[in-house]
Amino acid sequence: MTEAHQNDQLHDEGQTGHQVNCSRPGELLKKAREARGLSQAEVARKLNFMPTYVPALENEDFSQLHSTTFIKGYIRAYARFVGINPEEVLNCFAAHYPEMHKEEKIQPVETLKPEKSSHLIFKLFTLVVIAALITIIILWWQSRSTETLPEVTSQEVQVETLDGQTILAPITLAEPEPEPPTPEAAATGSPELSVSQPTVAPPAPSVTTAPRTTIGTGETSTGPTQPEVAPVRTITGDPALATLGNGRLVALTFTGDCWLEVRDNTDRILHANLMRAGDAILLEGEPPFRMVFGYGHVAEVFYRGTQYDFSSRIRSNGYAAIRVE
Amino acid sequence: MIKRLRGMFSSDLSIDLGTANTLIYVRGKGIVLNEPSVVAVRHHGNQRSVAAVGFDAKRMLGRTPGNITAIRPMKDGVIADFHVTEKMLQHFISKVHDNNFFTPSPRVLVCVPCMSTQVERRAIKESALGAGARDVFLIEEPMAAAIGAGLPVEEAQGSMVVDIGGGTTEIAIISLNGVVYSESVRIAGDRFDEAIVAYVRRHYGSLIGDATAERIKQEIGCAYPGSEIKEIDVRGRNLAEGIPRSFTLNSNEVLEALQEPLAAIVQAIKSALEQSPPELASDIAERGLVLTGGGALLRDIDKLIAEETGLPVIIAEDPLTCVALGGGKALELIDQQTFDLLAIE
Repeated sequence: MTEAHQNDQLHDEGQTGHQVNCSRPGELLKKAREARGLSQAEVARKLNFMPTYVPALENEDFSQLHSTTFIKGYIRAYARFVGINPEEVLNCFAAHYPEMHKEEKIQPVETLKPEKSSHLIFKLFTLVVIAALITIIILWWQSRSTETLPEVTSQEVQVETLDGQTILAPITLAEPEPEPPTPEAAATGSPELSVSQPTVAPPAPSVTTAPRTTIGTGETSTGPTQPEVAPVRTITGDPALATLGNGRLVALTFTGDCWLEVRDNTDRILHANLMRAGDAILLEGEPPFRMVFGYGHVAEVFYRGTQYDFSSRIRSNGYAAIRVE
Repeated sequence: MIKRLRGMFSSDLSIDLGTANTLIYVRGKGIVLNEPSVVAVRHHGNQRSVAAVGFDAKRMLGRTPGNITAIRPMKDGVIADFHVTEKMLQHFISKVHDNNFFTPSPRVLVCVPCMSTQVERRAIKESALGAGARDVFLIEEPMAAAIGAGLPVEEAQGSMVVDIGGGTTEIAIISLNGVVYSESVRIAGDRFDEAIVAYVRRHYGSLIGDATAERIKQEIGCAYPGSEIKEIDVRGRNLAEGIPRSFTLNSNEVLEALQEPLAAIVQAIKSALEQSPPELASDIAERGLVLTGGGALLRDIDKLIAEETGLPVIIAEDPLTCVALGGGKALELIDQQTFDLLAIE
């Protein structure tokens, strides 16, 4: 027995590395029992233990004593029976057999405080990320839908006819064809209302190439109902050259039907109308110009004497919103 | 969906919803809450609102003005007042979470007495769901107590656990993760208090409250004669004179008062042993039975049971928290295959 005990002790010392200044639990129990003059058998009988348990506890041979719960329970009952503080013996047991002590122990924690701060940071971070994502989605959505176009349904335009007459011509957007707006205009026999404007068209090279470009210049002055609409001029000659040297001019030509809206820097609407194939106009305003095309593939923009390429800005449905400067 | 999101911000809980105390074990953290199961309810006309929960409410027990009632919503281990229990659970769950952003929505494991009916189990489940739980699992109390006490429940060996709580005493013989035999008697800590109150009224002609009786039980109560005799000064209202009087009780008198409920518990343990299969009975005789619950703290109760049954009796380490700890250990394993530990509704 004693040899086994010593072996046990040596083994234990080697394992824990540091010897605790605590007597061995078995020794404590044995001493207390002997001090009370009780035999091992008597203790076992009183506590209803198996007769082998008492020597096993005193010799710290725990192999036959089942799990730690039972060992501790037996130690507690034994200590109380022999009149010593059970906690003292259990502390010694815990000091000598830390691995057995820990086995069953789930350490209760009193507060949640230590974990709290990191949790809070994590949660805040998550919330910030979610908020940022929502903001980005909202911004993207807004950039997709441009500001609503102004309602230009119909307007009356003062038009000077070729023979010097000034008439009021109603313009409606939904008109399928540019019919002569008034019977008087039709009577002139001219398909388009035009007034020669030599001051606007710069000295252009001879314009004989395409009949499409040789449209007579026309001027529509704004009617009293829509004073913000800027004067619109049609171009004769190369539209690129028409804008050369003047930053306030922009020229547009169309090879198909396309809705066009042009605003200048002062937010004035220079032009808002449906353009037909072959139309060419020259607009004057404060640069930069903002343009919206209903079908950008058929439009060409000329500014400062060169063609402005905006093909990359045309969306799949033909819509394009550009800024020219 | 929203519950799931809120669940990300909540921890899994194991709740020992006891008659006397409610303990909450948070997964990965341990026992974080141990408060009396008492709610103080304030009445405004027809409306009721919660005035206090836990320790604050317990201090009010028997000391409330007309518009406040301090209620113990659990009785005999099961729900006596559904709505108040729900409010109490809600309060405790939010207390252990300490989170201002989201209402917590944890997965919850609740312990139920083994002899409770389906209706009672359903009520406990519903109240936990009403308190905001995402999922509710039930586990039988003696199973949780055995796990919490560190008994080898998964082995093919009989382990006997006696959990003397506030409202019920649960006795179970467990082997291979299952309850072989279980018995639940509705005699426990509360009955001890009542017995002390009745004894004092009979022998001293004085009326004391339940809280005073509980204090007497905790300070000088004992279950077996022969150890040192302790005394305590008690003040109660003398029934004949109608005025408060002070008198002294000693532990032998308390022992006498407790005879009846203690005998009932011993009888239940004996009948459990009678019913157990012989192989398991021999395992228990070899290793002994384990006492858990607040009743295990009654002085010398192990001696009484050892004397009466002839078995080794062990008091679990930290008997008050065994059930919650065991529930917690089951919770740690809940995602694994140990669903056979859980009780069915």
